[in-house]
Amino acid sequence: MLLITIDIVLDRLLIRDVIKAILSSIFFHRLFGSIRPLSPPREVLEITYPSVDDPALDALIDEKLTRLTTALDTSSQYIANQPYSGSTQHQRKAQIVVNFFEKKTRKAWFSKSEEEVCWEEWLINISSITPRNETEKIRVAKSAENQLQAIIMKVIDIVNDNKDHIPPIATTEANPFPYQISIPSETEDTWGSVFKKILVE
Amino acid sequence: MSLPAAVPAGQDFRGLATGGPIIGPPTKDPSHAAKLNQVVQNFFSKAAQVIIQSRMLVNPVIIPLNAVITDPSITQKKTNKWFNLEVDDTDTFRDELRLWKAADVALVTSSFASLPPLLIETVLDARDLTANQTVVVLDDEGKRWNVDAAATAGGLRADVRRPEIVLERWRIELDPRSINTLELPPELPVVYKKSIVLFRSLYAYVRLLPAWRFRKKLSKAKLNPSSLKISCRVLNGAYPVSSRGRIGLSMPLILDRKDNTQNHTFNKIDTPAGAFTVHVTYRKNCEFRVDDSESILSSHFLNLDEHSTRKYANTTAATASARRYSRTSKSSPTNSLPSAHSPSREVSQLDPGLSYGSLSSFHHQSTAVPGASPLSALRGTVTGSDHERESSFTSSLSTSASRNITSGTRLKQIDTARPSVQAFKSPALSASPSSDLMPGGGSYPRLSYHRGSSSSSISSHQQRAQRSNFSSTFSGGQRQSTSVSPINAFNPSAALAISTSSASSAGSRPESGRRYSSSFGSRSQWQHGSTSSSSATVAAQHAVVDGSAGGSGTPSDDDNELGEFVRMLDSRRPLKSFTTRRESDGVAAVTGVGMGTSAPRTSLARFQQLRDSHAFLSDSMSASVVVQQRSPALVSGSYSSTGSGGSGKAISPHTPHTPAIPSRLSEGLTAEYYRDQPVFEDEDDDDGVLEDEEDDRGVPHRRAVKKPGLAKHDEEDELAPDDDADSSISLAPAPHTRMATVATSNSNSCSSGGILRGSIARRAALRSSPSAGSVHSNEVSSHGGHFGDDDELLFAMSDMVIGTNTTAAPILMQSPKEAQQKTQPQE
Repeated sequence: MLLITIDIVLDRLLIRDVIKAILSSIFFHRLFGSIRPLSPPREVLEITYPSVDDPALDALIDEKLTRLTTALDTSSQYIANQPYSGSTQHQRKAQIVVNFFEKKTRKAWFSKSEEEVCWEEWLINISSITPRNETEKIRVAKSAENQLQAIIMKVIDIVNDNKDHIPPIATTEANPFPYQISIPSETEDTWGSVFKKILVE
Repeated sequence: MSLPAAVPAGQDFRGLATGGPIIGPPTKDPSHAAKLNQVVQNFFSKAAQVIIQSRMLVNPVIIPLNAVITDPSITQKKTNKWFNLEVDDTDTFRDELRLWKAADVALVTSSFASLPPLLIETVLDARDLTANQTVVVLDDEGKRWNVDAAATAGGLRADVRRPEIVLERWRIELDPRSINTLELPPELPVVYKKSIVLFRSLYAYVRLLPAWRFRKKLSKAKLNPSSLKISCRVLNGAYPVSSRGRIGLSMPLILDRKDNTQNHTFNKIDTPAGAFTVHVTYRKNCEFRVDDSESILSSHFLNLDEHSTRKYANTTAATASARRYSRTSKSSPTNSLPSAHSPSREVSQLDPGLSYGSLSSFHHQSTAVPGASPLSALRGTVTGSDHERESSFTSSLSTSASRNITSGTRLKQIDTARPSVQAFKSPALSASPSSDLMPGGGSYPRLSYHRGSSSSSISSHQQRAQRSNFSSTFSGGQRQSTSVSPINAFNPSAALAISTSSASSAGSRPESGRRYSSSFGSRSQWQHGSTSSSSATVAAQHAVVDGSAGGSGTPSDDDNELGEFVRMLDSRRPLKSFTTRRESDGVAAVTGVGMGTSAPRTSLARFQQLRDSHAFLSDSMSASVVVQQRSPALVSGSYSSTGSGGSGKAISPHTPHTPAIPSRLSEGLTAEYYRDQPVFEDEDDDDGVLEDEEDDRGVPHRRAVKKPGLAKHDEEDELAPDDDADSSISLAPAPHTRMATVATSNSNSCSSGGILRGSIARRAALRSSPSAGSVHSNEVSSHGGHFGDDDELLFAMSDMVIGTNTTAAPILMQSPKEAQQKTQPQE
């Protein structure tokens, strides 16, 4: 299994849009069925990111983002070095995880069972900060732009450099690899809400 | 989780777009070779499509919606679904790409006569720029770098126009040498699967590069289209890429950076026919703009005006008026008498240039300024009383001039009636309000006009603009002096300048005014009523020249000239009848007439007394000349801040005078300049005369005024550091600038069609001349889809494979079922 970790520090107000861009970029590269890119493409912070033209996926991502921001706001604050102003700053942290699975079929006599094996996991660590003034806000926004551009580039590099672990595509489903988006902080009490979505033709 | 050694039979590497065709494992049968060929061919064409479609608009391929439906009107865009990435199919570059789309892999692998790399270039197309526009590129700090200057610094010849700047070069390559003969060749399904990833990431990547951002900005400026375009070229990588006639990728444009370009290589994909790679070299800074010296100057002087107006307001008794002026210059339509009328007038005046964009706003303000000034009050009266028959602004101007003379009292009434006018009038001026108007509002535009016309090439736009602004400055300077002393202030530098002022003062006197207006009227008949000010023009022109000569001038000469002028005036009385406009002397004489007869001769004496102020003015004038010279070089600075900064610097030593240099009238001048465009061009004939005149006088500073345009590049480098801070400018000015030029050209076209046509022809020639031997131009063909042909073949083949590959069927049938089972419990 390939594990990719992404760290990002964001203005609380930018989290939704920026994380959506990251998730969209990941899914764009990991939905192996025939896709039509969303056109015109979406933009955040003047960065164009690719999305699959798939309202269902969009809705799923939006739902997860709502959970993410809730998790962030309810997470405990802690003091961290503020990377922009050099001072300390209250931060909140949360994670969002995307898993891609391969369906493996075990064949036995007269029976078949299928299991899902994760072949790739994207772990996004999000630190949320609240800028205290306008200058800081601008700086944080600029930083977010740079981070997002770097992250999408990183996604591109990673998917290009790591192709051998991609399982064979053995189905005709629109999406050969089931995926799952989860927010670990809420796993204990809301495990049932962890959504595993398999698109069926 | 590693790749299975054996790809399961029935794996669909073609994707599901076809509705489930299954392709069997590769064998050594002909179909395998054909499929490999298809994959390789589509590598190239798909990569080309993804790249090109992200950079330029392409022709979609339209196909019938459905083969069953025979109605040809029901169509859809054909989609290219190769590598599971659906993009519109296109036939753009169909011919250029034919070599790769018809590639025969068998031939390539057997003979190693490798398929040449496919090169795709993204280029900035600056063919539509006019001669006086230049392309600048912004670096990370927003500093502007003149592209031509950079090319020259890079060793390219300076005199060659290069309409193309290479922004990116993509290299798509199939390298058969990397085939590892010891291992089994990669399975096609694996190749296909990996290619899906490659093309997805390529699709995302092209939208992160600087060229994409630049294209976005260009397309956002749709309402003010830029003369810059992005287009693509398809090249055969077997030939060296020529940079002849263009600025190649290796040419640095931002000179203080070592690396202007960056590389990226996508991880190769091994195929049975070799390693497939996509590589790109791109410019890191792709934020280009068009700079136009006219707009630079305009903004420059606008800033100058605002700057000094503000200053003035704080320091002098005229504070209130100046402030009001500056306020009204922004909002005069609401508070001035002619306001009700002026908007429409502005519209009609600026009609050709309504799309100026930001420039229009500037000129709009300028036109609005008169509304607040006495002149505008004058005009307002005229236009208000008989605007019905007013066909053009110039005619209104001339009318107003005569009105002014014949109904001087009326003018005064207006002045008193309109607080803004009164306030504006400086105490010293109050003696002759109307005279003030004439030279300031009417004559100076002419100045620019004459000077501009002295160069007959299209590039004279630039000089013209500079000059017009220069003259504006000068008139401003006059204003300033005026506030010091009514008449003499007008003639700081030369006798000719005196004639201007006297003419204007004559305006307030019925007798001379009549004369003036009569001669003017007659001239206006054949000059379409717009010449009222041209008489003053010459005078002003000389004044400018003298002023710029830095001359405290030679007073005695001035006096002599004045005397001569007066005499000449008398002898030239029948001037009204002269029919050629070559006689700029005569024009000046017309002005002189007013002076000679009616203007107070005492002004002569006073004039001499005022040499001191003259000297001051000359100094400040030369200072403004410096500013002037600088401004064309402001290419690398922002329109606004640099302008004001530069002017501030140049002017600061002359604080007492400087505030006046940019006067309210000078602002109006620019508007005049545009209004009078057609006439402007009409009088191209005058050029020779004027130039000769100036040359005879041996005034070197005429050259100095002219020089900025020529010396642009040199100065710009020197000035660049000053402009570091100017990053606040928005992208908008570039397109606007362009529009301004277009509008100017349009209005000129009536008389200077030849010139314009010439330049157009030249550009057309540029366009048609092949810039590089191996470069294919972007031919847009409407012919139907070559891209798609292969598709169909593969579809068909896939279908055939399905039939033979029955083992795949169970898996196929199961999968959806299982998927549902999986889903149900969770949902």
